[in-house]
Amino acid sequence: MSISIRIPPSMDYVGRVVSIVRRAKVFVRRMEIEARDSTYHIVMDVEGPADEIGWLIAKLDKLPEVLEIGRTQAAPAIAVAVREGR
Amino acid sequence: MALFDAAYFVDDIEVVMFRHEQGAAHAAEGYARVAGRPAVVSATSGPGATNLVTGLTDAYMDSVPVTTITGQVATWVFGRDGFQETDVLGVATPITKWVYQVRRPEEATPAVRIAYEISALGRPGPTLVDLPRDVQLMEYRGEAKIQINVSKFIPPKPREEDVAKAVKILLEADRPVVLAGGGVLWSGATKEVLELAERLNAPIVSTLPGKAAIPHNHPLYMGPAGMHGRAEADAALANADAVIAVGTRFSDRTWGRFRELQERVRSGEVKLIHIDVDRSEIGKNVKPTVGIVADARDALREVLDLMPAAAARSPKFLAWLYEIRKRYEDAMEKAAAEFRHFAPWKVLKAVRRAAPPSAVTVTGVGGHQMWSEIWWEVYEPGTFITSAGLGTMGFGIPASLGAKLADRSRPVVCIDGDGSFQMTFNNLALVREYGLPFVEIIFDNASLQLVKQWQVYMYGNRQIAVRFARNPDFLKIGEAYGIEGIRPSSYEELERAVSWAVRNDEPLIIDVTIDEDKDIVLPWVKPGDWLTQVILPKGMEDVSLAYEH
Repeated sequence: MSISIRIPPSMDYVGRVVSIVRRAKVFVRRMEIEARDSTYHIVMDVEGPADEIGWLIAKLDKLPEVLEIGRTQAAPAIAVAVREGR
Repeated sequence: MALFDAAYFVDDIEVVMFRHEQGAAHAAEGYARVAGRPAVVSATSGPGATNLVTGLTDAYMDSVPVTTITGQVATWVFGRDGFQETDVLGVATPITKWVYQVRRPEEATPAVRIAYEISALGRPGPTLVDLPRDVQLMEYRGEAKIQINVSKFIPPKPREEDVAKAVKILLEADRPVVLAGGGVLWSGATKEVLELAERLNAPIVSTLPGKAAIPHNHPLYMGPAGMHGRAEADAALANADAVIAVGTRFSDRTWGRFRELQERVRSGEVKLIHIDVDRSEIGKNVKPTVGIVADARDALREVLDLMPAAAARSPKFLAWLYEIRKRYEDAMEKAAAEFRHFAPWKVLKAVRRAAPPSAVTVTGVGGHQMWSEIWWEVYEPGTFITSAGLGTMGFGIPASLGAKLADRSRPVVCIDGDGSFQMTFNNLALVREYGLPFVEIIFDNASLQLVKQWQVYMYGNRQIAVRFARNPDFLKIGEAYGIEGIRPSSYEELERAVSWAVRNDEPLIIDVTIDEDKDIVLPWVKPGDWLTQVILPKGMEDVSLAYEH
């Protein structure tokens, strides 16, 4: 599962996002942050029970600094890499 | 410094100087729970800010609105270990609803305004604004826009299809139970909870924070359930075939082993309706049959609007619960005779007789708090304040001061323990200084009773670090702060003392000697046990909390 988040460009807010992710029972396979259009775009691929990922998204969405949040299935290339243990 | 210097020129800011920042934070909690709006706590950088952490966490766990402003070293010192530098944003990040460090003077006003607004909007919680010293000293340059999304805290309307499903479940249930959490109080949904229970003829059970939301003289209220709940409340929850849980997070303290509930819901044995304003609470611990994300009062109102007069149910379930209540109260009456000094629950009954229904009762944390959970009777919503989620010893005195600050016309009674008292009694200095009288009742068992109870029952009676070999004279401590004290020798004397203090709006410290060897809080659902595995007091050996239907 891939979670995409848009926040104002502040590492304080990145810290807030990470503090929630670290308490979820998920494994973070990839996490990227890119500054674009005056905001930070965070994309992370996480693995774990669907309920737990759902809870994580709901918890992240509670942060007022999270301007947008969405979920998609992880990109196929990453899924293959995961399967192959890379 | 600069912030307070500016406050010197503002007439309508009332500064109340607590003796420790933790006390100020708890006082803000007490204030908010009585006033229904946040107070602002301010502390200096470094130790001042870190001393707030317990209070902020307490407010976060119990969803209490508190707005905090902390000082910070100048921005050019950041990360260089300047004097009293602490990354308070890093510290407060997981225990606040929102934190913000002001880097430009034009951010200061909107940051504080947003922090205040957010703390009370939707599910309440603490917020923090950090003000570096150099920013405080800069010229005001208007207001910048802070890019955040506040609208997400505005509760959504309940979905019609979910409400319809909830109504169907409730109408079809044989033994529906209404579980009221702290969210009922914040939402102002007491009336709706009572109306729903009356229409269903269903027992009402609460969590510990939810205890404040329900008048205890309502015949359908069974009391709080859980680790130290009422036996009849545990029995109601454990044997329900439908539970409508309102504004609660399914704490292990309420359910013991909530996985047991999850299994029952999954199998269809129990239908669970969960209403909460916080989307992330739905399914966090127990996946409900129907989840409704909405304000509690709005959702219940829609449930009631859609619900026809409910079909009459067999009164047997309620009668069984009332019988458990009677057996428990009879057993405890007999147990009281074994106490040489005071029995905790009889102390609470005597104090309740003396305190008017509108009196605000605050507790510390420990055995006395658990006795209060079981025995203290709340008559008006919002008049019971306790540290439930975090269980913060020392909460009582400062929270009492905050409650009194919020409404000086109402008596405040603090049910405290000798352990809790000794953690924050320095704040008694404010009683005379600011005219904030309250009655401080110390359940004095010279021990950390609740921890001792666990050691006795769960650690082979190996008691360590739970007894105070030598307690100070609590009445002399009161005297030092100009507060009268009494060590009563009977329940009548205790009741008279409380009546006198309340009638005259005078502070009073009452040191009540409790037999520490007999002070075991029962009922008790041990951690990880299911509600029916509760330990009941002597004389209830033949009572089972499993309903035969």
